[in-house]
Amino acid sequence: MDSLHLSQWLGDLSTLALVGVCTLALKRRLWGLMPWFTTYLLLVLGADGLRWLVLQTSGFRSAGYSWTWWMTQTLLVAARGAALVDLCRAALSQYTGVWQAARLLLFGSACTLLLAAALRTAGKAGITSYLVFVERELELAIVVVVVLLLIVSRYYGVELERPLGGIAFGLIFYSSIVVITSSILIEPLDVSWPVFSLARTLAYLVAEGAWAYAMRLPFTERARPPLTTAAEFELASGAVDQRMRELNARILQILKR
Amino acid sequence: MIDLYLYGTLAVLLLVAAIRLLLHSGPGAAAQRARREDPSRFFPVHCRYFPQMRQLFSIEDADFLATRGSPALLQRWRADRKHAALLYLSSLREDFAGLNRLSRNLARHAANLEAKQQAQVIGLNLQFQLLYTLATAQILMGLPAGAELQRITRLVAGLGGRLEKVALAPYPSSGSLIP
Repeated sequence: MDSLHLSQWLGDLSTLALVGVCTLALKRRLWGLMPWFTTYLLLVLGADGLRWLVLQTSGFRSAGYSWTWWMTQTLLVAARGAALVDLCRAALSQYTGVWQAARLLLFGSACTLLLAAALRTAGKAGITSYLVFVERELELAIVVVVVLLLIVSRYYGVELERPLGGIAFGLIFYSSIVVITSSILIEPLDVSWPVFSLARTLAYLVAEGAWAYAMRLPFTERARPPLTTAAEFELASGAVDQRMRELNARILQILKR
Repeated sequence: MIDLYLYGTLAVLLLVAAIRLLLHSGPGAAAQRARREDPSRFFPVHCRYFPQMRQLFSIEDADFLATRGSPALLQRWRADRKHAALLYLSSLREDFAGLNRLSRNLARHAANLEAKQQAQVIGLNLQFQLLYTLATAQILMGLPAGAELQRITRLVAGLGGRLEKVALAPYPSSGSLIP
């Protein structure tokens, strides 16, 4: 079996797995927690169906198939970005103060990365190569934002409950592989399209596995954490800050002895 | 080709970082954290003994012992003093880490949180890490500190003060907290 047939076979397997993931998502009522991620999963299913139709009518090496593949891919990257907003909101929004401070950081980072991507991809000739560049930059932005979200969650001790951890892993794993494969494709290396496609399909299968595993059991009801008022917080954090400053003063005294 | 190495390395590093962070944010990790977050562990204990420890850091004792004790005794006394000073510094770091955890816990349960307030805590944290490193280096190098170290110390202290002023400016009720 050559890489082209293996890639097509794995593509079919990935579509089957996606049907399973979508069924699980609908069964678990994932749209209540993550509406954009649920939409993204259904969009991937629709894009797979459209690609299959064009593949059957025009063939793998046709311009029509290439065009359909890249156009749907661009739409899916944008949908993945929306799913990422869902993930950040679902992970942090219960902690209103943390969410208030973190969304500034996450939104700011995403905007900076997108602006940098627009500057780096400007002036690239050829629609296909342009889309490869854009896709790589957008996927990199997704990877960075997921890592930032995980850092913020770790910093404040916010636990990523099921299915959020698995969904985050699936998103970041696939996006990382896309960044690597797109970088290989951009360079003048002797890597054929089926090999490139095979690597991505395998990565997507891993992501689907992570999503299915995260949704294997019914979601537990998320208890709303107790929150303090602004006055209570200012009083308590003021006392802690003062202690911190005292400790810094102690070390300064040691240094200045 | 540079792009390939750059993007490839970046993607792999970020993926590894994400996996590590995900492994530490599961339900098991939360239970472990809850055990560590016993309220008594938040409050500073070791810094209370600073007056006693301050004597340890004074250079008068060394001058006195140099005139009265044998060189071997002086050497042993210096080694023990260095060891005790490093232990005390590491205890201060424990105290600070407890306060830092408490501060993050308070922030997690706050209904409103200003980014500037959080920047202030991060600033204090950075200041402590710098001072801790400088103090450790100073103790390891022996006494007294060189002029360069004193200059860096003043620089860090000044930076900390400026950070504090900026961070506390919009919170008039917290003004009394400035020592």
